[in-house]
This record gives sequence, structure tokens and C-alpha cells, in this order.
Amino acid sequence: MKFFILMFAFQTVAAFAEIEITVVDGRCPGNLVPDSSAEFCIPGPPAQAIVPPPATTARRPLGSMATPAPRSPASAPEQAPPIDQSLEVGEAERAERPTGEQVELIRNSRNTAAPVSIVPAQAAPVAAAVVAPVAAVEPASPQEAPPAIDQELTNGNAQRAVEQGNASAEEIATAAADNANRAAALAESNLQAAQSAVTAGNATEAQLALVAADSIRQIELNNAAIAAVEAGTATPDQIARANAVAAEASDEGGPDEGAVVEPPAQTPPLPERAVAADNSTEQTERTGVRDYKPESCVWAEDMPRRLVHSPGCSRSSRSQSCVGYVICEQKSSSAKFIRMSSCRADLCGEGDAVDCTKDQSTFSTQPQDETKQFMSKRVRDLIQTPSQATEQ
Amino acid sequence: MRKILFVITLSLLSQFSIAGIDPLVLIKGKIGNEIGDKDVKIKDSMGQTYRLKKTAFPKNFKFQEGQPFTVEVHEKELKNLKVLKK
Repeated sequence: MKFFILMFAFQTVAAFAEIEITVVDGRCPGNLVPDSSAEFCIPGPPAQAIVPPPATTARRPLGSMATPAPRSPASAPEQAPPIDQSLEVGEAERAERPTGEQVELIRNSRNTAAPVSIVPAQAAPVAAAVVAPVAAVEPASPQEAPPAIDQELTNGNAQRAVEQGNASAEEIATAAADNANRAAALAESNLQAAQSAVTAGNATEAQLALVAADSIRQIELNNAAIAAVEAGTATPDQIARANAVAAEASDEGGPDEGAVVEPPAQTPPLPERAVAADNSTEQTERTGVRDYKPESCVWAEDMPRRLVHSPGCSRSSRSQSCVGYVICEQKSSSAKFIRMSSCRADLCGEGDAVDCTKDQSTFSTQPQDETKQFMSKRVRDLIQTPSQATEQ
Repeated sequence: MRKILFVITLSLLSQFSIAGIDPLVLIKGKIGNEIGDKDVKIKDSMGQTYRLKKTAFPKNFKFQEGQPFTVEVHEKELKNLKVLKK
């Protein structure tokens, strides 16, 4: 299409400027045809003008173009001097460079033909300008990872490719990751703004909802971290989060030192768990003489031992307790059994099993029998003689 | 909101805060080859073999040889315990 437009413009200019267009190799450009003398070109049917010139045209010496002479293909190489070899170009370059006819036209038309001959030369920069962005959009090879400083440029190219609909899978992934990062950053900024507004007391309902949702999410993360630590499958981030939660809870509970949450030893899953049925007669025996030797107790290494928070009130370490399992020998049969033992937090060490077993300071001692429990006389009477209390 | 969570967590954890040694003993083991009407022979995780009352097990527990179990038994149930093998 451009070619026809250029030809039309060229003919128009030539007609008004009365340019003398000479015949080269018996042919004329565009719609021009050789006149009767076969020396100049005049307007006529475009049949011969559209046919591209043969490759041997460029081999002709520039000086001989003004005086064309019939030649045979066999005599062409003989007539070409060595200097003509520099004009021999490839097909691609020939499309951009002016052909021999165009050079001749330039010479003949002088000033007026110059814009016409420049047009093909200007096509190259335009094409390059079109190709250059496409080349920039092309994804880099996996071996050549873009540096961090060019990450934004890569993201921009990927976004542009996605918008144009010609993105590759890698560009789509890059654009998605960039969008996710931008969304996360935007959400973070919105959350900070909402928290500031809530603190200032002028938050909107949307900001309140945003802060509430974030609080719930943080709570869920904290619970998950605590559960993971207790299960022994916590990641370092979850352990850090659980420690932060424990420290914050310790700060709120009292002036004690921060709690240290240790991931317990991995315990095998319990196949079945049951608790023996209790009845009223067991109550007396439970508070009776203990059937174990405290000096024989050692920690059960395959059972969890941990620090837990407790609402104690009698000692400095009241906000924490050590809970673990000990293996103690029975007094009567010398058999060994596992029992849960709890004590002060500072008796939770490896060699403190006996001390932890003997420690009864936190929450006082177990009552020896029902009569020594702290209860009023009226309540005790109600428990011992319920029928009489009902009658009263 | 976080403070409410901490209070709830503390209240839950406080259930384990009574210091002292538990009168309940934890028995992990497998059912042995002698299953009687009232008791069953078991071998616990420490290699001890003795008879344990069936009342220490849940009602729907299936007594089969080699069946693993974990129960908590009050020490009074083990008062007259005779260890068959250590």
C-alpha cells in the first residue's frame, strides 16, 4: 500500500516538476513507460514499473546508467568493474537501500526526488522502533535471571505483555507475583491507616472491619503457632510467634521473666485413651497415703514436659508451672508407673524430677482426707448428711 | 481482642496448674495372651507384665491380643499388683 502511495506521489511530483526520468535497462519506474525514443519515461500503464529490477541491475556502473545500452546477461559480469561489487547487497538490504534506478532517479530529479528516495531509508528506523519493544518484552532465559535492580523493569514488561495478550507463562507468573506484591503492600498500607484511624478514634466502619479482620487473623496465626509448638511440628517462625505470645501473656500476668516455650519431644500417637471411672469411695483413697517413692522418680523422656501459665498467688513464680510426666517406683510392688507431675517452673530441668515430685508448694498440699478440706461446717454437714440437710 | 484471647488461653492452661503428683498412673502397653473375665494380662511400655482389671478400660474396648492401649488408672487399682515379669 505504501508502495502505491509513494509511486502516486512520485508521479505527481514528477509531473509537476517536469522531471526527466531516463530509462534504465529499458524499464521505467512506477506507471511510467519508455517513450518512443526509449530514452525518457512518460506516464503509462504500470505493468513494468511494479516488476522489481533484476539483481544484476546493481552491477551496472553508475556512469553507464545515464546512457543505457542493450546488453545480454552473459556480458553483464564482464562489464561490471570491481567497484560494483560494493553495491551488491542481499535481498533484505536491497529492500532498504535505494536500487540503481532510485539512485538514478535521485540524480536526475535532484532536489525534488530526495524525499522520495529517503522514504525507504526511513522505513528501517520505524521498523526497528517497532521491533525494539517486542525484543524487550521477550522473557529472559532461565539461565539469565534478571538482577534485583531490573526487577521492576521485568515486572513492567510482563505487565505490558499481559495487557497486550501475548505474554508467555513466565511473564504471566511474573505479572501475577508483581500484582500480589502490590496488593499485599496496598493491604498493609490500608491496614496501617485503619489502625491509625482506630487509634485516633475517627475510623470508619470499613476501617474498623479491616482492623477486626486483621486481629482475627493474628489470633488464628497465634493459635496455630501454639498448637504447632505443642505438637512438635512448629517452624522457626511459629516458635518465635509462640514465644512472643507467651512473653506478652507473661507481661500481662505479672512481673515474672518471660516464658520460654520449648517444643516438646515428639510423642507417638496414642492409640486409645481412657480414664478409669471414678466413684465416691475413691475420693478418700486418692487423698490418702501416696503409693510411690519420690526418690525413685525420673522424667519420662517420651512424654511432654512444658511450662504452663497458672493463676497462682503464693510465690514469685506464680504465673508459671512445670508440667511433666515422671516414672516412679511403687512402694508396695516396686513396679514403675508413669504419673503426671507439676511443680514450680524452676524445677523443670533435666535432673529435677525428684524435686519436682516432692514440690507441693504451688497451690499448697493435697488434703489428707475430706475433713481437712477448707469448707464451712454447714457445707460439710450438707455433704455428710444430705438427708438431714434436706429435712431442715 | 488479643487480650481476650490471652485471658481465654490462660483460663484453659490453668486447668493444668495444680501442682503435685497425679494419683492417676498412665499405662501404655499391649494386651497379652491371657484375657480373663475380670482381668487381662498386659505388657506395658516399660516391659512389665502384670494383670490389670478390665474395669480400667473403656466399656467399648476390644480385648484382643496385641491390641495397643493407653489408659489412666487410679493407683488404688494397682494396690495389690503383682508384677509377673520385669
